[in-house]
Order: sequence, then structure tokens, then C-alpha cells
Amino acid sequence: MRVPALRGLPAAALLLAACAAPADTPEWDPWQELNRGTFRFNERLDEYALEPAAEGWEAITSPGWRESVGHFADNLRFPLHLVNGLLQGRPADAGVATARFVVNTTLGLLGFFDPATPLGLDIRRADFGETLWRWGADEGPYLVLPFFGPSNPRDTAGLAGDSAIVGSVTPGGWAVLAIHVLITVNWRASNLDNIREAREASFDYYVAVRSAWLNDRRRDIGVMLPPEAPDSARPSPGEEDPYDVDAIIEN
Amino acid sequence: MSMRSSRTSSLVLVAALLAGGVAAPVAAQAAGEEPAPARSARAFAVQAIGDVTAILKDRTANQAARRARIEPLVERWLDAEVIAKLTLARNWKSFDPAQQQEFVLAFRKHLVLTYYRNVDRYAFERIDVYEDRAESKGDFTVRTRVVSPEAGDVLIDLRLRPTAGDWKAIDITIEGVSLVQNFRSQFQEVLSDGKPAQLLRSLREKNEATEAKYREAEAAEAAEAAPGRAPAGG
Repeated sequence: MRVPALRGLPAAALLLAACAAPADTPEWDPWQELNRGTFRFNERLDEYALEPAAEGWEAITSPGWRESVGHFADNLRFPLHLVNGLLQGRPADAGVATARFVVNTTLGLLGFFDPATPLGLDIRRADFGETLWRWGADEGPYLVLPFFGPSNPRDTAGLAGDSAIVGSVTPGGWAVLAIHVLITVNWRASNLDNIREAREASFDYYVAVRSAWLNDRRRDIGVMLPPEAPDSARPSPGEEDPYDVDAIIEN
Repeated sequence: MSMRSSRTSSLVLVAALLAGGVAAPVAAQAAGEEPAPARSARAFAVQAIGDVTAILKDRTANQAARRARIEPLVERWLDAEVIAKLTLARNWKSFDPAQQQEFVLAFRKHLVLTYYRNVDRYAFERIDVYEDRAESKGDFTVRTRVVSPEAGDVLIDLRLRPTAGDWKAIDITIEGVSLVQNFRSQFQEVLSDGKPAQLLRSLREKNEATEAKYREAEAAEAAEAAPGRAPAGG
């Protein structure tokens, strides 16, 4: 597989490693003013384009249909799971991803169904932002991207790397963009209520999204242990216990 | 916005199902002078989930009736004062005692209202309960999976603390996102350039708006159930 754009990326990763977050800032957001502006832009875009499109899509599709499109999207991301799995030194995961792709593309009718999971081939996601993390790049400050939403410099570089991977295996152009838009609308349609609820229940929606995204992303790539890991919720020695009321209100 | 953040889907459920648990009857070390709970965290969680599931699955009751039954249960399960302190963190001390008291009650109201809305609209099949584990402070975390073939499964962890001889929930973590941590970040932001009184006001306004919305929906449902008696809009 040809991955031309990857050659320059280790250098980018080294550069990013310089952006280490100061201690005690789990949500480091020095670009908040700019980020809030971009966030407002994205919200406006959602209000006028994405949400109405998602409502339309919801009206003409069944939950089963939307789930199938979700499987289709996962299947299309196979090149990312394969290449990044290999780049991260996880050949077994890359192998499972390949077997999944073969099974779901054939038996699963181009990926719209997921017969692989019941066969024990559960999804092994990998992306280039995660690869950069494994190579030692720091996360850097929180960064909201126009159109793409929450990110950070490392994952922004990851997005560029993943685009290069996808670009090297697909013809590109309008068809790819159209599929991406469809997948995004489909995802948004599956979350109409969730997002409405989150907006209504929050006191600062920007911060609620930032906090949730950073948590989710860190857990996803393994920076933070998943809650099912034996020691995930236990503070390490010297660290403040987030559930110690007396310590929490003093500091 | 993009499919990159698709995993964020379930975590924007900022409040959701309380759920049941399975725990080996390990003796929890009671916090301070508190008496140890007479039952395990598992027993508490199993009963809580059973109670709420029974109410939610009883569709002979209307929305107003379901809400009237669920809200007091959730109020009893939550340790509102601990949650208030954990979410306000160091800002707790910038509230005077009366404001602290008001915050505890108003935030509990917010959680209860949000909780009710989320569980009542979420069509789930059942709730699976996994192992639990001991945490610091004598707490237990009970892990659960809300199984919903239609909307997708959601992993929910309950953090329970021994309190006055029983258990109380002090945090709910949905797909890895802790409600306490999420609200803590928000309150820190709101209070960094605002006063406690402002936060209290927006809390009150939010609660009033949410309740008004519920009552509207409940009235609409009641009017639909008795079409002969109430003309539209009456």
C-alpha cells in the first residue's frame, strides 16, 4: 500500500511532543476564545444544515437502516484500522481487522451487516492520532476544528494522516465526500435526542462537550484506563482522590 | 460533528439510567464513624434497578404518574450533598451556608429531572449487571450494561458510598464519562467569571423550564386520553 504523506509525519509528531500540558490541567484549553468561536460556527452549521438533514434522514429510514449505515461506515474505515494497527505494532489487531473486512464485505453485503462480530471478530479500531500517541507525541491543548469538531493538535495531525491513508487507497473526489456526508448525517440522526438532552441539561455546553470528548478520546486510545480495568478509578499514590470530598473542596 | 466523534454519541447522555449490580458480599470499610451498610452494594443496586424498571415498564401509568413515582426514589438514592461538593469542588466555599443548602436541593432537582427524562425516553430491553469492585473511601463501583438493540447498548457505572447504614449514589459514569467530573468542569467555568448567585439563578431557571415542559407534555397526554372532556387547547 502506498502511503506517501506519511513520510513527513514523524517530524510533526516530534514537534507536537513539545506541546506538553502543564500539570494539573486535565482540560488544558489556552485557545478557548478561538475554540468557542469555532464551536459557535459548528453549532450554527449543525442548526442550519446537519440537524435538519439528520431529521429528514431519520424520517425516511428505520433504526435498522441507520445501524446498517453505521456498520458500512466502520467497514470503510478498514484501511485505517489495518495501517495504523501495523504502525502501532499491533499485528494481531491488524489481522483481525483484515478478517473482519473480508467477512463483512462478502457475507455482510459490502459491510452493511456485521456477521464478523458474532464470529468472534470484534472491531479493533485504530487511527493515526492514536499512532502518534504511541510514538510519543503529546496531546497538546484542546482544539475545536471547523466541521470536524473537538480535537487537539495530535489528533488534527492524525486526521491528516488518516486522510492520506484513505486517499492512497480510494479514488477520492466527490463520491468519497458524499459518503462521508452520508455517514455523518446518519450518525447525527442516531443522536438527535442525545444531543438535544445534552444541550438542555448543561450549564456551559462548550465545556460539557470538551470534558466529555477529552475523556472519551483518552479512554478510547488507552491514555486513560477504561472503567472496566481493575485500577482505573483508583488514584495513584500522590494523586488527589477525585472522590475525597474534604480534599476536593479544599484544593 | 464528524464520524470521528461517533463514540461521543452515548456519552452525551449526560444523565441516564441508574442500574443494578452484582457484588461479592465483601465487607466495605465504613467511612469514618458511619455504621456499615446492612446489605451489599449489590443488594442496594439490584433493588434500585428493579424498582425503577418496574415503574418504567408499566405503561398503563401515564407520564405524570411515572414521574411522580420515580422522582422520590431517585432523590433518596442520591447523596445530594456529596455530589454538590464534588461538583463545586473548591468553589463550594465561595457559597455561603444558605447558598450551599439551596445549591444542594436545586442541583438534586436538576439531576432528578434529567434522570427521569433520560430513562423514560430510552427504550431498553433489560439491564445486565457485571461484577463490582471496591474503591477508595469504602465506595463500591457497580458496572452495568443497558441493553437496547434499537438504540445501542450503554455502559453505566454507579459509584456507591456507604451512608447512614445503607448506600447512596455519588456518581454515574456513562461510557466512561463521569457526571461529577463533567459538571465540575462546567461549574468551574461558570464560576470563574460569575458569582454563586448567578449559578443558582440559572439552575432555578433550568429546573423551572424543564418542569414546565414536562407538565405541558403530561397535560397533552392527559387531554389525548380523554378527548371528549377537554377540547384542544382547553
